[in-house]
Amino acid sequence: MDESDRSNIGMKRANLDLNDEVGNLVMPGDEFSIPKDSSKVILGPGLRSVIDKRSNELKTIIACKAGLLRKAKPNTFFLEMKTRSYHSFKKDDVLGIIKQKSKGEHYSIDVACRELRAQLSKNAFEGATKRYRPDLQVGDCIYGKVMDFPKDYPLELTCVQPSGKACGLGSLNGGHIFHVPVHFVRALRTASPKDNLLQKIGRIVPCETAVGANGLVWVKASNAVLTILVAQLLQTLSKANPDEYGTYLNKFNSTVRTVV
Amino acid sequence: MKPKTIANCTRSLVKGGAKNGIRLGARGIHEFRTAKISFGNSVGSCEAVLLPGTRVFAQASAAIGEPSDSRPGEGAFTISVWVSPAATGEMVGSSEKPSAIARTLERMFKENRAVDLESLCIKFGELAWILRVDVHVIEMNGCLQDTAALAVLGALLTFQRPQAEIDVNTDELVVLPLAECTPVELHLFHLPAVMSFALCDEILLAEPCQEEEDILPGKLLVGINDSKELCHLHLTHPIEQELLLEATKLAQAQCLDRLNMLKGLVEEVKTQREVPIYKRPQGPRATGTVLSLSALETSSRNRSEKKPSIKYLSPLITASDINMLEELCIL
Amino acid sequence: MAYRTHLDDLWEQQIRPDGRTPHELRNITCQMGIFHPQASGSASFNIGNTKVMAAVYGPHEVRSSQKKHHNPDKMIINCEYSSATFSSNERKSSTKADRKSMEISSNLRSVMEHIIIPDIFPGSQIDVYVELLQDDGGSYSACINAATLALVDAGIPIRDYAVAITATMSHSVCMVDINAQERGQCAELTIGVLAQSNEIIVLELANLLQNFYLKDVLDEGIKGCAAIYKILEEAVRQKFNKMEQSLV
Repeated sequence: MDESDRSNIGMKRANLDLNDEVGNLVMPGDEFSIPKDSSKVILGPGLRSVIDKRSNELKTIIACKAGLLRKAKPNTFFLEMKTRSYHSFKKDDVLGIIKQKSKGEHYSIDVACRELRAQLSKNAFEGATKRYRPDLQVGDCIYGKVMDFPKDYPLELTCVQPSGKACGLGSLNGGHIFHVPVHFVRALRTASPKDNLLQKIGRIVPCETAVGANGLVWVKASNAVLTILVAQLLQTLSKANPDEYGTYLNKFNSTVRTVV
Repeated sequence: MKPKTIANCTRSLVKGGAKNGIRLGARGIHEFRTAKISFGNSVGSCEAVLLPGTRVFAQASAAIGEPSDSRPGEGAFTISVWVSPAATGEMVGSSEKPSAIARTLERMFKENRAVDLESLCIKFGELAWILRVDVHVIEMNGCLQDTAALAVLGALLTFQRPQAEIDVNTDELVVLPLAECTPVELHLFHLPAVMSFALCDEILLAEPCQEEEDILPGKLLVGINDSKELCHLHLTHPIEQELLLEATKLAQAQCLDRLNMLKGLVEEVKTQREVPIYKRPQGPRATGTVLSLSALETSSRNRSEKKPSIKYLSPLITASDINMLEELCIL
Repeated sequence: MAYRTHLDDLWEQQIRPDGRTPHELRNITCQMGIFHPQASGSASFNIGNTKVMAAVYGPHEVRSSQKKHHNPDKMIINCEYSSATFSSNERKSSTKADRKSMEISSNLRSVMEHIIIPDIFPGSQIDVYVELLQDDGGSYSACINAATLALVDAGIPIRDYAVAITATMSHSVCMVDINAQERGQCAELTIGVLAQSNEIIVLELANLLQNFYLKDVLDEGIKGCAAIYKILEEAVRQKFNKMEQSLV
């Protein structure tokens, strides 16, 4: 960053232009001026608007995290961050483990996030009625969708799509569940079909996978050895540089050959 | 953060895998974890790491104090264990975990007399070195006892204390600063190490990680020293006799390996340290703390007053040491 | 220069300092129902000069302090060990909160958890209190024996008896049931087994023992445990015979 970029008050950068900074690294505390031309600006994760309390007017926009500033099409800005902690959004697919089976209408779910409690209605399964519904045990894995995240209340999950079908959601049997950083999960989920890691792995070892936005990954291959190997590969890849993926995959390929 | 609840599928994977000889970490079932040991700049500090992800730091220090009434001819030795809340995400200060580690260490180092405490006596019944090892668990991923024992042993082996003696003529305690004397190392009678195993239906898993420790029902600790003597045994699950004997055999081989590695590293550190042997110039002593014994006695008699505060000697070089070094150069 | 004492002479004939042969146990007496009727079950176990009392309370409702962390499908087993201030040579001011007692308490609990059948009283609590009155070697093994007897006396369903004894190797002779005098000179291995399946459930070692000797010492200890089991069984039999007579 050039010196001239900083119209500084102390150490802090202020009066930055949102459009100019797209693609740059933004530090927590950086202040942006409000774009004048646009009537509406949508701020994504990592950006907050500060409202002057007296006049009730929008004062500035502040970055509250470190990350790369990105712009989505119509005046939507957000920060891309590397993080291990998960922040929920509506319609996110998450993996969870049943923490407690209360006598009421809900299972409470561990979604690997400290501040978030989550619950899943016992009726929120495909074709479930009050009488016929799956009986899950403590420790079972479920793949669900975030239905709602009300303030001060537990996160609400569901295991049916709005159409009424499960479409892959529901409880998962067997396999192995483990934790990887959230940004890696995001990369896995948004990868284009050409360089999709999971597909590449699938070509070497056929396996079922479920990737939750909350950083949990579930893997099931034909036997325990392969399951553990795939889990380990994903865990090493999550720490590696994207350039090195190829070498890791080759190494993985040769180890799988020796096992099978 | 990781989920706290253990999933049933992981549970069955670990249990089923153990029967087929596969583990989560892709280790063999009798394969031990790789240990890494490093030493700090100050004397008697050691950090032991068991890959993946268990890290324990130990620091030995010594002060002069009164020996206990029941053992007047010996110095004292205390071990205190802290589990950092950063390692677990919750306060575990008073829970069973630190005290279990401390008990294991006490049994191995204190009750089995690994350290020669008699050599820490300065004046019978009145003055002795009080040795103290602080153990900090920084990261935890199973096998805390193994790592802690390694760190404590490393700290004890590299520890040096200044010389302290009673002046025969004046009956005064003289503590020579580290620069003025050849520092004294601790004398260890034997070098203990401990290996842990997880037990699962007639299968031994060597040095389990945290997940395996939580899932598998049993735990076996085997402590062995460098002369192939057992020094600690602890069991929490029923076990067949043959399996136990197999475990001790495995532990013996691994302990010897690990101790040899530690000894090699300690030798390296000691050669790097190379303390110049100092010859005291003739004439009156220039530096050095001289404590009158009579003063110490009177203060200890007045129990209402505070005891003479124990000052743990800083292993770092102090100003007086630098003076001494300068003197050395001039000579 | 080798210096011989009369103990060495005794050793040549394989006689221990207190006059026993290597495989001989000390005099054992045990009694059940000593705290009747306050406790649900109680027992005392004396081996030589080592004296231990145990009391079992429960099963009863879970105490409110522990309710928070409690899984309603499981049973809480709470063990507390304490030794009397006058039990050993060194008089101690407090004996309950020190690390040694805490360790023994938690070890006892893990043993009790293995022998009590847990799913019979879900959501309840059993308290086992063990008090060491006099320590003359083998106190931990005596605690296990006393606690087992007290559980039987309380009528709590158990899978198996846990019986324990100490053993060692000295002068290349295996010995069983070490007393305090011998403890100072050799290792003391506390061995506990489940009586029916002969699986080892307790192992505690004080002092150093050559790894090479472990098998022999274990064999010796298991033999000793069998002898103790007979004595415990006899005590239980006598107690219930008495009950029958009183009923008739």
